[in-house]
Amino acid sequence: MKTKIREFRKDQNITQEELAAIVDVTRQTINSLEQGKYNPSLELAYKITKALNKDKIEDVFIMG
Amino acid sequence: MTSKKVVTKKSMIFRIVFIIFLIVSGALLNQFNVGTNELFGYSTVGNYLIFIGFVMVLVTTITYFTKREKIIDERMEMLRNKTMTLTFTVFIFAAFALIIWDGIWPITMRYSIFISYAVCTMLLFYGIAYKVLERRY
Repeated sequence: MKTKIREFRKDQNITQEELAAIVDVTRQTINSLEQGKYNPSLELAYKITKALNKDKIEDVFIMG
Repeated sequence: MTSKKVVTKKSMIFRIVFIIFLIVSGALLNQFNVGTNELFGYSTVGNYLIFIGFVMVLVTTITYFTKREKIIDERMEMLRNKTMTLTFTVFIFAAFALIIWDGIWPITMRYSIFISYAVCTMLLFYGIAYKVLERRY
């Protein structure tokens, strides 16, 4: 799964560490998500979307 | 989804009680010459208990003064489950292979040493498998 986490994170000047703290996961998990290695649960995807001030999950996570 | 392992006062008291139990029982075993049959050919059961007790003192002290909170997120749980499954599968196949091996060339190693090797190998395999899967996911 492709994500736009890095792009949106850079726009908002948030580090991986900070985003990880907001959504209650480790920095490694954020890194893994950004690299598209790990597919998050719906709950985590929702939390990240909210943390990045986006409305829809599909704005951040792209299937395929 | 995410759980936090916190070193609470209650868990610290439990650890301290367990450490005291290990050291005292180790000393008592040595005192009454129980288990002094040179376990694994190196030392007595009592000495091993005392050693584990002191290692736990070290670990508990470090834990208390450093990181008091550990996040376990969903990715880590997924990795743990995958590693457990892999380790269990390998263990089953290894046990099967050892049965055949033992049938052809009987294993003459002492039972206690054999079990300790088996446990250490499993732990080592678990650690390596976790690190490998961590790179993949």
